[in-house]
Amino acid sequence: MTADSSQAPATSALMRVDRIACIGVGICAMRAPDLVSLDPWGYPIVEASLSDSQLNEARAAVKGCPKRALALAWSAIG
Amino acid sequence: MASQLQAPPETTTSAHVRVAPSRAPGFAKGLAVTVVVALSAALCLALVGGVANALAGNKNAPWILGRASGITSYLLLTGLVLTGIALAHPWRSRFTRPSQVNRIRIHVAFAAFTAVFVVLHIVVLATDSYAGVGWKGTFIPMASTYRPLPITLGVIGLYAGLIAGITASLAGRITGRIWWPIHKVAALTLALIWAHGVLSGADTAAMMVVYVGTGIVVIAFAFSRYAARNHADQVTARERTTDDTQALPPLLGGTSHDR
Repeated sequence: MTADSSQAPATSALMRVDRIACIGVGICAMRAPDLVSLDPWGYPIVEASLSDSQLNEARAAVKGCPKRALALAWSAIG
Repeated sequence: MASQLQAPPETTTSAHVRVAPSRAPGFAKGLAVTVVVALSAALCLALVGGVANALAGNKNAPWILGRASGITSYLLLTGLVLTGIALAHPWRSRFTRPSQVNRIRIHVAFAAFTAVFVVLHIVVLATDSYAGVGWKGTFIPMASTYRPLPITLGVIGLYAGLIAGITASLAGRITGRIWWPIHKVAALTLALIWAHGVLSGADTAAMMVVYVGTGIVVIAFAFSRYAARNHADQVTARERTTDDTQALPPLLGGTSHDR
């Protein structure tokens, strides 16, 4: 994918974790086991970037979070 | 504790990312699980067979079975609530075993077994004409001829538990803003079921030690959960004591999630 100044930059989806809001319940890891694993203390470790096919799973994890500590974000690439 | 604390983490970060997903090795774990499941199934069959044999020909068998399943349901519900409180307890991260995912699985297993024994409790007592509850009394408040108010507490507890379980199982399809408050309030289901057991059971006097003991344990554990401060509370407290959060001394403990 090449950058083109005449077009909007390409973006890559990723999950962001609000580490103060997160209380480590772990629902995210149950809802998106391929995208989120938990560290030994129960807090989420998320994939660095998400493919389009992973977005639905990521949305389920974000939506199910009881403390709204997970969010989807898009970062520019290229 | 505070002396061991480190710099506050960024409020929002994606830096803590997974590099290589950890997947448990398959065969040995699968074999161990199979053996445990087989032994559990054999043990359950032996117990059920023993109970069936003991109750065969006993005209009070439905009543005994109804009470036994009710008490079992209560104890399982107590376990369900305790494991649920533990999942979000601020002290939870002091212990790394079992893992948080396995703790959730244990919580779900308690929910499943509670549901099974509640169904048994309902079916046995609803079909036992001697009990005086009937199907209407099982599902409609104040419709039981046997101790209508205590039975109604159980009926309300049943519906509250169903709502809590169904909404939690749909977490991800429905937002955390809905299922989480419902789930927390539904812990009060245990109070309803506690009162249901105490007031409707014919053997309450013999069970009072169990009721009082489990009640104290749950209340104490719930109190410790809501009295304990989590890291969000610590951040809020620090922000109240200083105007310059950038100059804060180290705040949070040295676990990997805080980096």
